[in-house]
Amino acid sequence: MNNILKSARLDFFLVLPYSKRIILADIIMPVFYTFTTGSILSGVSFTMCMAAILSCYTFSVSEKNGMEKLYGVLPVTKKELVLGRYVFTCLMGLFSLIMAIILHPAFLLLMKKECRPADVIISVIAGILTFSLYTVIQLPGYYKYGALRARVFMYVPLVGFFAFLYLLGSEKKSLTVLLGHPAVLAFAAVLLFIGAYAVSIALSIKFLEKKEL
Amino acid sequence: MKLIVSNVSGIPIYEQIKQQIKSAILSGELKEGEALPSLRTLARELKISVLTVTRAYTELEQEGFVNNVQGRGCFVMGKSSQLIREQLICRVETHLTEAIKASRMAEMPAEELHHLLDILMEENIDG
Amino acid sequence: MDNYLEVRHLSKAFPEFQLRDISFSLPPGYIMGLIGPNGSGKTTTIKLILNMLKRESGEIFLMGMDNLTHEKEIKSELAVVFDSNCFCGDWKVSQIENYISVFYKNWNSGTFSRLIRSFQLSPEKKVSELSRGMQMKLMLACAFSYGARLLILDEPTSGLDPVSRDELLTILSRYIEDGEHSVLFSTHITTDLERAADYITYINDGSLFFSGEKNEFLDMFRLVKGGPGELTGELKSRLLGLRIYSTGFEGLIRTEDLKLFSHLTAESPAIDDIMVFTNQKEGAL
Repeated sequence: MNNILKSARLDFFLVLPYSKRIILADIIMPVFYTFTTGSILSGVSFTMCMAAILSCYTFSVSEKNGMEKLYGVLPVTKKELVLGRYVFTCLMGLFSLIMAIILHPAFLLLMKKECRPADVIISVIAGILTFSLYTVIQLPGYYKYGALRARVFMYVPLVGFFAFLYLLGSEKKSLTVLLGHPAVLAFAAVLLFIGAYAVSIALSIKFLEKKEL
Repeated sequence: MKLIVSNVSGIPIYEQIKQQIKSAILSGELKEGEALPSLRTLARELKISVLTVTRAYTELEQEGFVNNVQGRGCFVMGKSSQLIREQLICRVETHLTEAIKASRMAEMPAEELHHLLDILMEENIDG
Repeated sequence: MDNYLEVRHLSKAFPEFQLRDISFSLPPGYIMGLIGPNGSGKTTTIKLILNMLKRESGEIFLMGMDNLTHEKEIKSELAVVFDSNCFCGDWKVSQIENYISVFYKNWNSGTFSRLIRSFQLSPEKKVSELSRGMQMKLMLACAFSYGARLLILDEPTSGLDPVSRDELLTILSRYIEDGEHSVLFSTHITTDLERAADYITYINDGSLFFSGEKNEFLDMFRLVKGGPGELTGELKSRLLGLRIYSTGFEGLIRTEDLKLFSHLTAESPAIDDIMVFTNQKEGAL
């Protein structure tokens, strides 16, 4: 296991004591949201939004415990620490997504509500898009300012989510066009995914390396 | 072998160690060829720094009482007893010479000096 | 064997403080005490050695390797114990090995469990539930389990009761006993160093006051005492520190200057005395 994966693993153990809270907010709550709205798209987006908000946990827990000392001692480079954290954050997102696309359709079908496969696919893509958009902005923010001081970054996804809902409500036309072309959406998602993450990671590494402990 | 140190005796610790080792050699407690306690273990047990013990052992070697074999330890040299005896006899000579000078200044006759020596030696028979 | 730690002309400037031209080295098999009043630059020096702060000039070598280019290799052989806990408070003692050991090739599980037992750390306790002394022992248990050759401690004994302090110093003595390990520890509790340290590096107000053998350091100075009338201008000019009271005075003087004042009472100073006198504010003299 290389150092990047070891760092991601360490992050996992960092948030493990908080797993109950995380699962409640990230998995259970969104199910009820889907139930009330009947829209799997909103439900999955909400899940990914939650997952992005929870990405601050690794930062706040390590800051509260003064763990930068541990990171300063372990034989890992700052680059590996940053990459490990991104890996863990994305894995958390992936886990949330998988749970969502299992639970939400099941719940909807249980409630005898409609759930089309096309909707699910669109939700997945939208989910990945929204999660990437949020975390790509949040993580460098946390690295630069620290999670405890930069609480504002935690709420970026919330802002984004409401903006998304607003768009959904108003600009129905252009959005339905976009949503009607999954291929375009998929392509955009991939581009965003790679490009934005590359920039975000580079920024995070720069901020961490500049940080004086 | 008895080796203790005092932080308040005024005598530097390395000097205390040297003196006690020399006593042990003279009394026969440390025989020729026998090894001194391991330097670092001694430092730990006496709660003093390694360099302090090193200084004591190094000076003992320079003065010819022990031989430091790299990787094996410090061993008591053959003629150590003799060397120490010689050093002590030297000291007796010096002190006696001083005593004689003082007795001359006090205009003490020679027999009185001899007599004093006998009395003191009897008193100090356990010392 | 090369020095385990070599610091050459280390400098770094902060808005209110400057660390200037610090150089010292630590050979294998010895304990070095890093002393200085609070705020003098001890923790800064340690952080610079660990590359937790960026230096402005100078070089730092650990086990012969440059601390910037060989950071990972160095850290596999370097152990650090800070003055406060560095683990997540919610972690249990029994879990620490699982989380940390993967980073070290030479991790020895047997050593770790033996140490946990002998330090009497209960495996089910959370890190946050341990006392300060126990937290330190936990950090030490980790440090000793991957065969680190150099151990750096930042104020390890502050906050410890005398029994724990004694235990720690004994642990450090055992650590260097085979001659293949070294310890650097920063402290302002100098009585610990009187006992354990072979070398002393004294940093005062960001500059190096002295670095070398502890015995030499103590031998360099004497404490002179005399009556009120005996404090001449000549004497005053030679003193590094002075305290005047109603029935006399005491001051710190270099041993080589002592022969000019052989009529005065002189005694060997403790490390504390040297530090207090050399750290007096301007104007005391």
